[in-house]
Amino acid sequence: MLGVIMSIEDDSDKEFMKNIFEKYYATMKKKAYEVTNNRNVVEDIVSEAFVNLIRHIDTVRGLTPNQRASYIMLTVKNTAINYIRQSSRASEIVYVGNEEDVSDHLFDPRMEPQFILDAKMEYNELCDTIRRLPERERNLLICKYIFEMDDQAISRILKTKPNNVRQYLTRARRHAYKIILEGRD
Amino acid sequence: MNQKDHGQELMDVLLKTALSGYLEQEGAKIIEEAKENNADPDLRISPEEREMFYKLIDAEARKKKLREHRKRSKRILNRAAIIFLVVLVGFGTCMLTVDAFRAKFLNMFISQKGDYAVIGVDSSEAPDDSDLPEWASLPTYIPEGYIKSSSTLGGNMDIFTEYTNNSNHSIISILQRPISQLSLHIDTEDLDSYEEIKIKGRDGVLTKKDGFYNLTWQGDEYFFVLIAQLSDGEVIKIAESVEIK
Repeated sequence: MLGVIMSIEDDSDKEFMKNIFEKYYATMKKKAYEVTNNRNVVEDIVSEAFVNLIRHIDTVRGLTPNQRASYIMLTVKNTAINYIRQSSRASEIVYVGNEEDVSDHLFDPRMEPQFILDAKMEYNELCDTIRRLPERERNLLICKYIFEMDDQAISRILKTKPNNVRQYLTRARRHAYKIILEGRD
Repeated sequence: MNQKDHGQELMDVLLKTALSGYLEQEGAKIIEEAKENNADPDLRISPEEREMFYKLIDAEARKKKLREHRKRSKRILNRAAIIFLVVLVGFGTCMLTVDAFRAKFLNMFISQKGDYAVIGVDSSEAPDDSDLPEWASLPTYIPEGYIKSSSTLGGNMDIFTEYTNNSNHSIISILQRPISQLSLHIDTEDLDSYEEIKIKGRDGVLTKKDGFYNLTWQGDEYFFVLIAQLSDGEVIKIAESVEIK
């Protein structure tokens, strides 16, 4: 019985991934080319991105169609960036920041509840604040808070040690808060 | 929760809303772009690409299934190991501390009978007489096929011994009771036969009821009662062989 269930799940996963292939392969190829500017590696990058997507298929399935599209493109983009890093032997830690726990410094006087609730901001404006974040920080926050990746998985994307992920997240979060609060002033 | 924590929590909600909204908006754009790209002849999927990627998806899905299977097996094995350990510790504790359990377990054996095996308590092993008092009087003759299955000393100094024939499950019971303890009553109702006999020169009564012989006789200090579903000759022969101590 277990074998039958596993087989059904397996077939369902295959169909799901083949559907993604049909919908997004062309766009994934295009994105991989935009990042690498090298047609010879595009297929390898998209293949690797597919392998990553299958490994996280449960996460992919749990997203809304729009979020899923973003996740797929984020995966192919990260795969392409990592490919460039590896090929240029620049895969060491990119971010060099202090190792202190900065969570205590997150507080901003403007973060008082009444201030936040009184401030007016449209939904679109709020979403736009995320566009003002550096791409790396934006992707880090998305991986953590929307795709709910653990530090280990994020460290693989960032090519850094899992212990450092928390520092990067704190920094990115602080930056995001600052941008949101500026937008609410 | 203080104001600082409350403010932090509100900011987290805002951040997650912003991130989620951003992704939704970007995703909508990507879906539109994907539709355009799929219609672009330069980006159209070739049959070779489709075949290659379908194979890749099949292979990776299979690998994922194997990984999950391995993980599940590992979890099950870990649980089984823990259960085994718990059972082993419990069993070991019982073996070391509970005499009855140890005796019962050590009597277990597997015996080959023809072309099948029997697992159970070894009833062919005679009970140990070492717990019986020196004055216990047992027969030296028992018909073939019977083995001693129990021998117990009761609270009123009765010694009750049973011999069992495993092939037809018949039993020979012998009771030895001190005369000083109690009087002995012989059931004479609806008997098939009643006979007064001598066992080693001592008075005895042999009765038969429902196919069972009941032989009661008296020594110097003890009554003996022998009950068996045998011939009267065999019953008397057993009684004659009891060595009164």
